[in-house]
Amino acid sequence: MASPQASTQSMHQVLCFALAGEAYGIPILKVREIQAEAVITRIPKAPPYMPGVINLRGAIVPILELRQRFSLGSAPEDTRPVIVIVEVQGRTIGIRVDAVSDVLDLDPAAIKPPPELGAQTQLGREFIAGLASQPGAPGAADQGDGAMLILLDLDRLLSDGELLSLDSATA
Amino acid sequence: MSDPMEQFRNAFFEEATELADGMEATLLALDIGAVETEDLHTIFRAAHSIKGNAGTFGFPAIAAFTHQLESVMDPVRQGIRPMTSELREQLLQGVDLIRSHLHHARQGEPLPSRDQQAQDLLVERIRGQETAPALPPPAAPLPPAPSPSAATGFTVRFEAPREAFRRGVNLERIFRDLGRLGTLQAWPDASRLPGLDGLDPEDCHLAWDLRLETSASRAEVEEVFEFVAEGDNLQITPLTPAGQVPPLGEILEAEAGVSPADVREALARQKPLGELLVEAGKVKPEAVSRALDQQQKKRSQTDAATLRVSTEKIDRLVNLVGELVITQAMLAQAAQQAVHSTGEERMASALLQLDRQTRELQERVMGIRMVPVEMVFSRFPRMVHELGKQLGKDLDLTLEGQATELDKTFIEMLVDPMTHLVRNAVDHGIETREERARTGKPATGTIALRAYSRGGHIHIEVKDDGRGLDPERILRKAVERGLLPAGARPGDEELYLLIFEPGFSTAEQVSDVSGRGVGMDVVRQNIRALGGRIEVDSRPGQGSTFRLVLPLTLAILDGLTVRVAEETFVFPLASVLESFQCRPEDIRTVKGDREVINLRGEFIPVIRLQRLLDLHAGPDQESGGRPLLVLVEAEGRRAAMSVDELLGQQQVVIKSLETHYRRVEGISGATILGDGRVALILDVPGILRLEAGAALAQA
Repeated sequence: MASPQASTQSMHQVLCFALAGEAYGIPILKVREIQAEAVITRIPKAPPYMPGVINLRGAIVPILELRQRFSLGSAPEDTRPVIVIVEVQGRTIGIRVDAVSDVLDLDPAAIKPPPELGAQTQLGREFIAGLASQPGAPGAADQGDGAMLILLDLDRLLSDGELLSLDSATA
Repeated sequence: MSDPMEQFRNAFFEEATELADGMEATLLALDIGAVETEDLHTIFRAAHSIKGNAGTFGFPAIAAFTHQLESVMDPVRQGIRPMTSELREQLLQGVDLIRSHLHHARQGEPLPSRDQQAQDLLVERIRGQETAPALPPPAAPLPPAPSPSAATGFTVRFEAPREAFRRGVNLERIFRDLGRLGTLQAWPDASRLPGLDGLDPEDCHLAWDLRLETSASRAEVEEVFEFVAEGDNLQITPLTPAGQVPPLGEILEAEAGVSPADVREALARQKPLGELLVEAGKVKPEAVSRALDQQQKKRSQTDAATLRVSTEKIDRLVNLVGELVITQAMLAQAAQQAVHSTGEERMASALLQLDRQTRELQERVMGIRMVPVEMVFSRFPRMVHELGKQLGKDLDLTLEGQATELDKTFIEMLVDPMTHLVRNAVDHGIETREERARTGKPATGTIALRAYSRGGHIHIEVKDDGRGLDPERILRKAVERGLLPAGARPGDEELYLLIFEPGFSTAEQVSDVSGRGVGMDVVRQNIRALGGRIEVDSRPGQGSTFRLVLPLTLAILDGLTVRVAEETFVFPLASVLESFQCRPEDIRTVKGDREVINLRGEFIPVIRLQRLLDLHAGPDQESGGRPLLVLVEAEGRRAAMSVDELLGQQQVVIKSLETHYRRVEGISGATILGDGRVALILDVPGILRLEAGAALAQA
């Protein structure tokens, strides 16, 4: 805690969620709210990772299936997915995850750049903003390999190649 | 930009623009043969106000120029010089220059030199006229009118102020002064005298009806009453100008000495038109009161005070109300079950009331977005006037139904298509003077713009009494351009619609105004984008009517909800012709996998929505194996779409998918159902294109 500015401090407040046994984090400032499971209306011919839209108090909001996006297979029967509503570049998008666990204050010094993961990883390196060790967080990452948190770069995640092509279809 | 001066200036620009618009409208409405003095005053006042404000807010160039316009109008409004069509053109040009001034001043730039030159030229011409007196020299008043009923002058109703005596006003002087202005007739009116017991001898209860034949101006007459006119106790009405037939009462006053009070009383005893018609059994009283309501509504529309509100605010309100309606529906649904089990009556009736109120609220809020179609129509008098001059055609433009209301978005998007249609009507529709004379038509061609609402749609017509469309020529051209196979001969109506195809133009001469083959297809595109369609009626030699049929608003849609597989979709009701069940064997395959159904002798392609949209199979009981089809029509093509269940017909609030997502082929938007789920609205033309694309891909 080398006297960080208030904004830097808040930038490192993250919402942690679980996905296929791994712990992920996104900047809390991008998160608008957390929704329990809503009925998804399928969009014809949509990619599997963006299967449809939900009604968020009158707004039509698309859902990103993070498991599909990262090719992690479908969730086991007993999970009750949650939708994290985020706001990125003026758009509201719901991210479907297995469970939300915690809000953490991260020491910026504890955030490490992502290592080279090689081309074989499904989760491209470009979506990872960094890795952090969790300061004794309960709940998440109880699957063994320690208290590691994967910090996602939402802007990149939601505007990478394929989603960008969706954008250009609008134009 | 919170500089207070800035705000005032903006207000000045807006007001001046409105004044210039008003000036233009009045100029165009002038009947040069019989000019209304009031109109001349209006034009003068507009110029005068712009001049005054421009001076105040530091735009001396605008003030100086409008001063020129004002001074040329002054003798005209006083009847010293006549209003001529030449002067009208000059003033119209003046209006354009005022607009240009305003535009550039707003940007903080000087007037471009081209406009400056035009202005100098105009001022010079106006000045030249000013010095050359056009009417009998202003020194000599008009010669006395030959017959009293054709005299110029005024009728005056003057009610003396109650405290006139106490104030020591010399009423007699007024009559003497009036007598000096011309021939005065006076009828005292003692009807305002109270009974003896209520009479205060120091109060003045007198009134007079006066008839003054004079060449003096209204202002001169008003001046006589300067010290006694207060509130509405003085009414000055010009006598019917020479050349027009005066009302009977006016002649009787002049010739037979009947007092205006008697005439008024007799007129008051006349029954209103509606009452007379009802008594004669020609019309039902309800119809009359409805008509009166409508009239009242139209009147109040025109003089209602207005308030400028940003569209964004209204849109937010519209959205919010849309959500409220949905929440209300959800609440009603949830409560219905509760009511069933507990039998709670009060809740049910409260919910019913809530339903009514939300609906009314929605209607009202939607109403805010509605603006009179006049906002589009108002630009055409000038345009038609200019086009007529340019093309040497005498034109008359009639407007009807300007008060019909349309969604604001439509108004903006209608301008271009309407402009194209009107130009076409003037250029191609209306014949040349010689041709009209040859065919025995009146020399003046008529363009009529008409707006009305019918069956949940707004219709806007552009009608001309010109030569009409020539189906044979269109047919030839269509075959030539490959739009129709040789030998085909569709019905006239279908042929007319071909003129909206890209690159289609039958004009023999490409003129400056229209006829380049662009435009008509743009018209159709724009109208389609608004969810509307175009109809064409035409009779050779008698003229054509182009009718734009538009939905009432962009935000709400009458829909047919259906189930396909597990999903609910909404068909816009406007594109649904019918829905029906058929036997599986009624659907035949053509070329292997394309399906058609024979419907009353017509082969119609069948579209399997589930397959086309790649939907997961749902509960697959196609109503006992009998396919359910919805017959739709879009862009002149028909198709039968197979669905699994018809759920009902309802109004839905259209939500954009693009706000947070993107455009989806075959889907025009989304809506939220009563249970809170999202349903997609099908884009019927898009689906037809999708199907055509799929068929192409397979071929």
